[in-house]
Amino acid sequence: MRIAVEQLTKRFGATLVLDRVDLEIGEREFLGLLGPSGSGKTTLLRMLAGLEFADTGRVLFDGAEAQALPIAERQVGMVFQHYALFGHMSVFNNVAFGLKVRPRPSRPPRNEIAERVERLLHLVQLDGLGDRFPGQLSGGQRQRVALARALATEPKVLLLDEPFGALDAKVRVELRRWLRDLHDPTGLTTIFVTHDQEEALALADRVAIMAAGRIEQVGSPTEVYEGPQSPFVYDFLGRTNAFDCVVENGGARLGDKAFAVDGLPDGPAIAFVRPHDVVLRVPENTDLSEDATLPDAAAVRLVTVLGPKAWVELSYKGQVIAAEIGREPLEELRLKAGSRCTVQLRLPCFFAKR
Amino acid sequence: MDSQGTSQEEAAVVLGASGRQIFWRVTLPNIKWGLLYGVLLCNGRAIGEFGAVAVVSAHIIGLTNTMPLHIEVLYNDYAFAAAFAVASLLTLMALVTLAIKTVLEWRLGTAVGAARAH
Repeated sequence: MRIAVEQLTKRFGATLVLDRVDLEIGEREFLGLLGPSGSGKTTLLRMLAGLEFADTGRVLFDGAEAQALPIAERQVGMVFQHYALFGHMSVFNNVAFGLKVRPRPSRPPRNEIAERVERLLHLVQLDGLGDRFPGQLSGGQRQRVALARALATEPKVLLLDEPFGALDAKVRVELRRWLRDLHDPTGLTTIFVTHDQEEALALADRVAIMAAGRIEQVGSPTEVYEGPQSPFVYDFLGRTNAFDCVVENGGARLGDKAFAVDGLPDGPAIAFVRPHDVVLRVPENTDLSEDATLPDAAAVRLVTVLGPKAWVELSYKGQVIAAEIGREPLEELRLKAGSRCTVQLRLPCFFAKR
Repeated sequence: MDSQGTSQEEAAVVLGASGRQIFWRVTLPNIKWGLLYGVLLCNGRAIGEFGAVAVVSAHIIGLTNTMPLHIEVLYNDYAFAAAFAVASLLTLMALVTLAIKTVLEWRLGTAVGAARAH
């Protein structure tokens, strides 16, 4: 199903939760709504589900206004943040609920319901657990019950609110891949809400980044990661080093190099560099590449080794610079707290200072 | 009900349940132990009430009557056997109420525990 949201606005009291939001979601798309808490992403999701209504604006499902439709006719399945499973019902009855509550004419016969539930439990890899109660399941299993329950009514749109929020890191990564595999053959349009940028970038076809009730940017994970349109998006999508610089005649100076910048007015600007684009070199090294080099050496404050990577914090003229480097360069440079090194910056991203 | 929130009801709405179905299949089963416990406590108070009925509702015989009041009337009429019979009945009911209350408290405890678990 194609979904379009037009100029959607919502207030809770004096707070503007959604501010003229426009968004289009294509058929069979897997879209991630990404944003910090309070950015309105859950409210937007609940509006698509029909649990919340907009003050102004339209929600279109396949081109038709959906807000007037009763929730049952929207053909939407939803997985709630804490799953909201029916604690007094067995797993089987949880999954069967959406079919059992149908009015008699459209309700499938009992044996067909049982068959369909068994099929769904098999799909979510919970065979044989139909008699258990939600309280007897692990977090990951509950999440899959919630998913099976949402899919039982054969929705065309699947909405997931922080689907992996309550799970530990390893289960999260497994379920993420599994959810993606589940989405692709079903023909569902899936929208999920998350505040975890890694999750959104890893899972979604397109990501919509929200802040303070507005959509800041929409695009594929690569597009938004490599071409952030605002400092907020850049900052939100990963760790950041910020450097003050000045734009003059369409060029910005960073370290010993000048970079061509398009569309930035002359004046103060900020250059952002990701920690993994910070290169460290021994201070005496004169064989410097075309990367921008900071004029003075920086002092190492802290070295943390995390598996194959090392996290280095440097202080440079009162500023902290974070660098993520491989184990090999770390050993070559023999970096430890107190040693000095030259800092080079790759792929800076410039924004006008607000 | 407050602590359980409305998320299960919302889930039921999205799954297409009507208001009546949500009440009977989701809300009521979730609150049934708490509700029964409340009914039982209320019943216990009602059976044993003495002072309030005697003073406030003027103690009209055959109209506003409770067991303790009835016992008093019988006793004052020198109907000792009848008075003690009713008193024994009252004691028995108190014991039964206590037993049910203990069972309900146990069920309520597990129900609340299960609700907290997810």
